[in-house]
Amino acid sequence: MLIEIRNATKTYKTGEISLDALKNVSLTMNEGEMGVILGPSGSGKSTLLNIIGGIDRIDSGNVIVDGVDIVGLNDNKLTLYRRNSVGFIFQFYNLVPNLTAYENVEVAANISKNPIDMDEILESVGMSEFKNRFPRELSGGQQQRVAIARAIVKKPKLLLCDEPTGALDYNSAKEILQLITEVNKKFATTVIIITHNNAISSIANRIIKLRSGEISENIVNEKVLSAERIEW
Amino acid sequence: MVINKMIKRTIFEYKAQYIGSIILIIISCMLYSSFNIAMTDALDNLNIFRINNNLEDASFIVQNPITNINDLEKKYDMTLEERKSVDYINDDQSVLRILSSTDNIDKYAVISGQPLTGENEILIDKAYASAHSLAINNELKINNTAFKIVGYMSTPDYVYPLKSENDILKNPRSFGVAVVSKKDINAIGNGITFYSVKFNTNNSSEFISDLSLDNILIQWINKKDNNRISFIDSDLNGGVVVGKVLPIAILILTCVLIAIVLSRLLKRESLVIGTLYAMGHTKKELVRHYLKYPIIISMIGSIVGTVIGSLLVKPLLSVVTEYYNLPLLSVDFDIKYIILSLILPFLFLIPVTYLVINRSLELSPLQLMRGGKNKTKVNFIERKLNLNRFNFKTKFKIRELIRSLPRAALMVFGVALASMLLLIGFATKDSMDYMVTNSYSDIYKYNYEYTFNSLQFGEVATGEKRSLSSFASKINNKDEDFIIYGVQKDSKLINLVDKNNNVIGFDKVIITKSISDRYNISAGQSIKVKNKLNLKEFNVIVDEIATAYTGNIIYMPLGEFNLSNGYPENSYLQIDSVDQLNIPADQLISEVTKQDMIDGYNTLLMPMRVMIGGIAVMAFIIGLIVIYVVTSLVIEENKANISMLKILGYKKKEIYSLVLSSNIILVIIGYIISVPLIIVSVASLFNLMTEAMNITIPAKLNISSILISFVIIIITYEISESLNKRKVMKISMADSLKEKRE
Ligand SMILES: Nc1ncnc2c1ncn2[C@@H]1O[C@H](COP(=O)(O)OP(=O)(O)OP(=O)(O)O)[C@@H](O)[C@H]1O
Ligand SMILES: [Mg+2]
Repeated sequence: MLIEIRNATKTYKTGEISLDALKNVSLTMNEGEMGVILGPSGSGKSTLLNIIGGIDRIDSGNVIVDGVDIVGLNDNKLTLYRRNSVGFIFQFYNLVPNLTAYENVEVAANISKNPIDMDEILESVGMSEFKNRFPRELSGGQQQRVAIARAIVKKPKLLLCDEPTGALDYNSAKEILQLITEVNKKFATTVIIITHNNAISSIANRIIKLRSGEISENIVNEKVLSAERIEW
Repeated sequence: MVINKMIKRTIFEYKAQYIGSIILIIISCMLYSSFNIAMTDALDNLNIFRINNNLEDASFIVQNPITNINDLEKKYDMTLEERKSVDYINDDQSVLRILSSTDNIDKYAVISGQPLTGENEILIDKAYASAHSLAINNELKINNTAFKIVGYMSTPDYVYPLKSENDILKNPRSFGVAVVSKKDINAIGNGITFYSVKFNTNNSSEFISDLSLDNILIQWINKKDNNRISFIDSDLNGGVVVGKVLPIAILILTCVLIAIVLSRLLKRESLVIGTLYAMGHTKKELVRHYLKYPIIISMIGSIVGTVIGSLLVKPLLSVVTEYYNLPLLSVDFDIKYIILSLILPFLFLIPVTYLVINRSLELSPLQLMRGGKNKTKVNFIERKLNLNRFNFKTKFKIRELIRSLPRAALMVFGVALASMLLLIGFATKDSMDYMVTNSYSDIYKYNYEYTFNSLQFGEVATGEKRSLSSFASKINNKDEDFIIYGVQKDSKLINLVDKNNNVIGFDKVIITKSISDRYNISAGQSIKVKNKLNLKEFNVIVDEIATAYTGNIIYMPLGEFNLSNGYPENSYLQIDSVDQLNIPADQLISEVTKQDMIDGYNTLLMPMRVMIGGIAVMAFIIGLIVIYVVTSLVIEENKANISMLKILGYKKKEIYSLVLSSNIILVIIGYIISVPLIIVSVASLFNLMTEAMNITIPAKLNISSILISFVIIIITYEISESLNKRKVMKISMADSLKEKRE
C-alpha cells in the first residue's frame, strides 16, 4: 500500500462561517495504481489532492504515504517530502513565465538527487525542439507537456494531477492523458487525476467519487482503456 | 463611489510602499523648506549686517600714521577710519584680539548685553566667551586693568574669527575678538594701528599709489582675500545649493518609485478597471480615481515635510549664526519657499503618474479584463541572452534581474542616491582632512610664523627668513589677487612637492595647484604681477606647480623677490621657526602658531562627525525605503513563482537565494556608480563654494570611507531583505493555484 488515508477531516474557517471541505475521508491506493477523482465543483477534490501532496494540512486524521504519516511531519520534512516524492500537474500549467521550457524543467531537476537527463525528458514529452521558448510562446498543450516533464524529471513516487486537461482542447487533452499513462506504466508511478470529465475515468483502475467532502463511491475499474481509446 | 474604498484598502494592504514614498517626500520637503528658508535668512541677515554696520572694502597697514584722513576721504570719495588692535595673550596662551570701537566702518553689533557706554567696558565674541567660561557682567583683567564684560558682539570684518586672514579654521579656545572704546585701547598697550576703508567709487588703485608716495604700505588686504569676511559666503551658498539639488534628487527618486508602484497597482487591478469600463465608467473618472494616490501621498508628504522643515529653520539658523559670529537680525519665513515646498511634490508626481495611469487606461476593457497588455512579455534582453553555459541558479538569478528593467533602474538609482548622500559626509571630512594635513603638516614644517611690521635686514640666528607682498594681476580681464613669498633657497621649513611627489627646490618660481587649476596656468607660462604695496610691475615665469591648495600663492627665491620688487637686498618681513622665538610684540604684525590651526581643526571634527552621522541616518532611511520597496515589488511580482517553488519542494533559504539575492548586484552597481559621481559632485560643490575665494578645496575620498559606506549600504540591504523575508513565508501554496495565470 502506498497511500493510506484514515478519517481525514479538513475545515475552512472564514470569519463566522466554517466549511467542512473533507469529512472523515478514508482511502487507500496501491503502488503503481492510476486513480481518478470525480466530483462536482466544491466537493473537496483539490483539497484532498493538496493534502496528499503535502501542500495543505488536515485538521485530524492520518495520511500515510509509503509508510510515513505526513501529518506528523514538520515544515522542513514536508518540504523534503514534496521535493523527493511528489510531482504536480495543474490545470493552468503554472510554469515560471520568464524561464524557458528547458529552464522550467530545470527548476525541479535542480533540487532532485537523481534526476532524469534533461534532454531525455524533454524528448520524451516531445518538447525538444521548443526547449528555448518561453511559456507564452507555447500552446496550452505544449505548456502542459513542459509541466509534465517538470513533474516527472525527479522520478516521483506520486504524480498528482489537478484537472490536467481542463484548459485543453480534445486532441491536446488526449495527448496529455496518453503521456500521463505512459509515465504510470514506465516508472510505475502512482497517479491521481482530478477531473470533471467522466470519460477520463476509464483510463484509471480506481475511480473515487466525492460529494460534499465525503467519498460517495470508490470503484475498482476492471476494464481499463488506453488513453487513445477514450472519447467524449 | 465604491472605488474610493479601494484606495484606503490598497494603501493599507501595501502600506510599506506608500509610507516609504511619503517618507521620501517628507525628507525632500523638509530639506527644501528648512535649507532654503534658513540659508536665505542667513544671507539676508549677513547683507543687512554688512550694510548697516558698514563692512570695509579693505584694510591696510602703513609705516607712518595717516594724518590727513578727512582730506583723503573727500579726495577719493571713501570712508577711511584708523583702528587699533592689541593681541592680549591670556594665561592659557590663547589670544584675545582687542579692537578699538569704530564710528564709521566695521561697526560692532551687540548680540546680547549692552553697548559700550563708559570706561573699562568690553564686548567680546560669544564663542570665545563660552570657550573660556566668560559671561556677561564678568570681569576680565587685561594688563592689570579690570574690564567689565557688558555684552557679546560681532563685527562685520570678524564674522569668522580667524587670527590671520589666511587661516582656514577658527578655534575659539585659542583665539577670540573683543571691542573696547578708543580711549581704553590706548591704555591697554600699544598694538597695531591699521586702517579700514570703504570706497564709493572704484578708485582703490589711485588711492594706493597716492599712499605709496610719501608712506610705505606694509599690508593691504581686500575683503575678498580676507577669510574672516569671505568664508561665510561660500558656506551659505553651499547650503543654498544643497537645499535645491538634494530635495529635487529625492523627488525624482520618489517619482520613479511611485510610477513603478502605481503601474504595478494598475496591472493588479486591470480586471477591475476593465469591468468598471465595461460598466460604463469613463476614462476621466478612472484617471481621477487613480490620481488620488499620488495626490494623497504628495499632500501628506508635503504638508508634514514643510511643517517639520519650518520648525527646523530656527535651529538651523542659530547653528549658522553661532558658528559664524553673526547677529540674528530677523527670522523671516519666506512664503515663496513654503509655497514651493508644498507644491513641488505635486509638480513632480502628478504629471509622471498621470502619464503612467493614462497609458494603462488606454487599453480596451477587454484587454484590461485579460490582465492588461503583454502581462509577461519577454523583453529584448531576456530573449537575446544566451544563458546555457550557466548553472541553473545563476540563470534564474540573471533572469530575475533583467525581468523588470524599470525596477532594476529604480534600485540602482535609489541606492546610488543613498550612497551619494552617505558619501557626501565622508568626502567632506576627507577633503578637509587632506586640506589640513596638506597645509599644516606636509607643506609647513615650521611651528611659528612671525610677521614684522617693518622690513628687517641681515641674518637670523634661528629660523628662516621669508618675505611677502600682495600682488594683483589681470587674468582673463579680471583683477586677481596673489601673494608672493620670497623664500630662502635652502628652505627646509617649507616643503613643496610636485604631482609625482618629488620635492621642489626653492631656486624656482612655484605656483600652487589652486592657481594652476583656477586660472589654467601651467609650467612655462608667465604671469604679469603688480605689487599692491609699491605698484612695481614685473613678470614671473612659472617653473613648477606644487600640490598645495592653500590659495593664490607664488613662491620665488628671496633674492629674486627683493630684486624684482625693488626691496633692499637681504631684507625680509617674516621669520619661520620650529621653536618659539622671543620677539617683542611691538615689532610684529602677527605671530601664527601652527598648533592653533591643528587644534582648531580637531575642535571642528566633533560637529563634523555629528553632521556626517546625521546625513548617514538620512541616507540609511532613503536606502532602506528604496531597497525595501523594490524587494517587496519583486516578491509581489513573483508571488506565483514563489508559491510554485514551494510546491516543488524548495526550502525557504533556497527561495530567498533564488528570488531575492540577485538584488545585491543592483545594490553594488548603484554603489559603484555613486563613488565617481560623488567625487565629481563634491568637487563642483567646493568649486562653487570657493568661487569667491582664493583657496580651492580638492575633493578627496579615502578608501576607508568608501569601504565603511559600502558596509553601511550592505547592512541597509540586509535589513530590508530580512524585513521582506516574512512576506515570502506568508505566501501560501494552495491559494496561488486558484489564480489563473499565463
Ligand atoms: N482557502 C480556503 N478557504 C476557505 N474555503 C476554502 C478554501 N479552499 C477551499 N475552500 C472550500 O472548500 C471546498 C472544497 O474546495 P476544493 O477546492 O477542494 O473543491 P474542488 O472539488 O477542487 O472544486 P473545483 O472542481 O471547482 O476545483 C469548497 O467549498 C471551497 O469553497
Ligand atoms: Mg479544484
